[in-house]
Amino acid sequence: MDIGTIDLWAVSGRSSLHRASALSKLLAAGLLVSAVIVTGDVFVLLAIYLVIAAGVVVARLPLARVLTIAAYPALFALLFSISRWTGSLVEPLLITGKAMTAAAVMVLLITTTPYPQLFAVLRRFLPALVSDALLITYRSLFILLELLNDLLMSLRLRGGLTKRRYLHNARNLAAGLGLLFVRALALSEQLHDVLRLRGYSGRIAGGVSWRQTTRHDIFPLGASLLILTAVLFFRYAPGARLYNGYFLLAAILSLLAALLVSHRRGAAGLGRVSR
Amino acid sequence: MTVIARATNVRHVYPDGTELCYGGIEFTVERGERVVLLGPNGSGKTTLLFHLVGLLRPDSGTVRVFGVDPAEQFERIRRRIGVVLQDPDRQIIAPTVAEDIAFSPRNYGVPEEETERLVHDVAAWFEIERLLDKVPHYLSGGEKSKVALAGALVMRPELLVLDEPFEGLDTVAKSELANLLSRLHAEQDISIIVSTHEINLIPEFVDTVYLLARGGVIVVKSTPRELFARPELLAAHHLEPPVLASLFQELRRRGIQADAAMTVQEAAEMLAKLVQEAGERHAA
Amino acid sequence: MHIPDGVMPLWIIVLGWVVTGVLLALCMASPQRRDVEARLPLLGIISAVMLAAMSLELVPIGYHLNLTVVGGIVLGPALAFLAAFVVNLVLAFFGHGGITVVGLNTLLIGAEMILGYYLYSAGLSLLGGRLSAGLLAAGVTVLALATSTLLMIGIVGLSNVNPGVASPEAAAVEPSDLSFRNPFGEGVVSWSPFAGEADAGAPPRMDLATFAMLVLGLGAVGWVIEALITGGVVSYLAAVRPDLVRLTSRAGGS
Repeated sequence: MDIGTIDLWAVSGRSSLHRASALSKLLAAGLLVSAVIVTGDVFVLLAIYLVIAAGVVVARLPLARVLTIAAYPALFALLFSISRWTGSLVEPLLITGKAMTAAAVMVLLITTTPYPQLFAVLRRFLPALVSDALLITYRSLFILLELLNDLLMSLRLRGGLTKRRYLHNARNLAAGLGLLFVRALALSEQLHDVLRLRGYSGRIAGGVSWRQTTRHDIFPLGASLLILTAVLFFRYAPGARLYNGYFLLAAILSLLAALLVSHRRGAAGLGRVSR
Repeated sequence: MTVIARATNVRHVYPDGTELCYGGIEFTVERGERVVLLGPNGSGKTTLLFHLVGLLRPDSGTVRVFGVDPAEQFERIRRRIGVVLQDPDRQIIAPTVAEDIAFSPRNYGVPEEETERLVHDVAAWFEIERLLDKVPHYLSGGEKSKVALAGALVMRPELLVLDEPFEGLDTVAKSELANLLSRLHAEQDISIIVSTHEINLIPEFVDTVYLLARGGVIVVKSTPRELFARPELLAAHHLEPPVLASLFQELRRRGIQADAAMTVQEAAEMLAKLVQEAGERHAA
Repeated sequence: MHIPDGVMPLWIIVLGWVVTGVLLALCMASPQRRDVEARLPLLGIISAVMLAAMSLELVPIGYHLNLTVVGGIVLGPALAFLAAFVVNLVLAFFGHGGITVVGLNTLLIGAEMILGYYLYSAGLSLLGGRLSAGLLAAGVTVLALATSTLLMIGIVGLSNVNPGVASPEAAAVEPSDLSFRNPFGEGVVSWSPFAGEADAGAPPRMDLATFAMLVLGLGAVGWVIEALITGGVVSYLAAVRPDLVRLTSRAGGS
């Protein structure tokens, strides 16, 4: 879970998806996750996954890395799949596919939407304490990740983490994490002072408009609405499942088109977010 | 002149039992005065600052800022004080620069339109308008310092308190900050209290120096010129005088009569005068 | 362990959110509210520590630390549950846990943290100085994680997992054998929307015994690793900041 890299992708991207408003992308994510949950068709699910992959390419993000991050839930989904084994691959593919596709939707959201914008929308719908806690968590996370990185580096340089000495490593890692807790505590005490000094009195007042929209919103909203409609059509319309292959074909073509355009942009020297 | 801050015989006991006693000379800050706390590590500079802004409560003695005990009634004077702590990174709270600078006004209930105007004004003053929509953790050390300062000054406080503001900055950034503080004082007549080790920068923007010894005792209250003319006093407290002061002391030791220069400008003028006089004597 | 998206029926997902919502409201209701507000920075920081620890992949199969029990001990029950929600929400956004099942995952992580706190506190009262804080925390970690795993098995058992209907007859592409049927073989498309075409039979049920064996077996490895690390962390804290792990009260401070 490379939080620093994900944040950098979100903040430094300049694609159409990056420019779409946080509100539209959150709504689109909601529609897509709903589509993933509703569908019972492996090929429709695969089509959705490929459309998300096309979105990653359109956003000029490194496709393999993003999909690898989104593949994490597959491990847990596999446990459910094995327990549902009936001799056919269909259920396991559905279960694992749903987990991975839903995760891919969220990862595409978080890699194209800087946290401050996302936060501005979320705080409208969350209790004050929770949204304040989210803000502080996010802000502190980067400071702590840096601290953790320094700690691990020190441990490695000083022989605290060495290959195949598992107990030794566990002991030193535990001490390092203990130190992280202590420093985190100091940070929280300092943060408490800062909040007090800067006027905090029970609620962090926000200001960024959460309702801002841009012309780039059409793409994510339109695409997600189309996908959800298709999923509902395939699920509930009699005989509609005959056409799931065309939906899959359309998704494959959209991914190929995105890859082609991206390749041409690359050849033209146009920027891409990478790391 | 009105005294806006005063610490009298303050005693602080740390959790591990170490004591600091700010006895000796009483600590005061007058309106419009620029004060620096100077001293070796362990002399309690930061602790005294924390007492002044109400983050710590003295075990004995009194602290008064704008007439109130800050530990008891900080909310009454909060808007009149801007504070910048040692690590600006720890002080920046909000997800973007603009939101961070706007943090205090919003939390004080300032209307949104007014808040935006205040934010843009202070950002323009610090020349950081291009950073307003940036995410703070990607900024450089110097930029973070400016953002933290902007956040502390957005409400136009009467007193600015800075704890080791030059720490971690490169030479250019340090100079820039010292100039900013001078300019701030000149334009807004703000009182400033700074704790720092940057002895070379002190003459640029300070009226009064308080020298603290280990254990917190305030041993000297002086102007920079008077204090830096006493290298033996500084050495006794593990401090070295500014480079320019040392240079002119060395010149005097070699028999060349020259007053102490505190800034490069002064030093250049004095040296130019010495060279001219030497040239005239030689010609004669 | 996290419950991923797409494996739970809607009613369990909604129930998870409702129960989590009620518990969150309880945690934020007075008389705890003042305490929660005052300790908001601590809540945010410890949530961030847990997230930072989760970013450490210990074993190439993707096992990562949680530090949930340490978090529970340091925060206490009300803040711990809030932290569990914050952490799960952030994880969901990073694709590490299901976004629809944040409610359910919060219940699981929250249970670990709260149980960890109470078992540890009870252990301190009952055993006093007879057992080191580190060993106590390690033992508590195994119990807390085992309990949350059992809770997850219970939720799954309750759910009658139904990921969706297997592909019925007449799909253009058959997933079972990848054969392709000409969708226009029976004429131009005409359909009555929502005419209620029946799903192809009831979905197969989850084999709970297999699931339990898998998660308990794999989970046990994780419990041991987590217990080792938690014990080490608490030992360190007991030596350096005993107040954090409820060993002594800290005097003074800012």
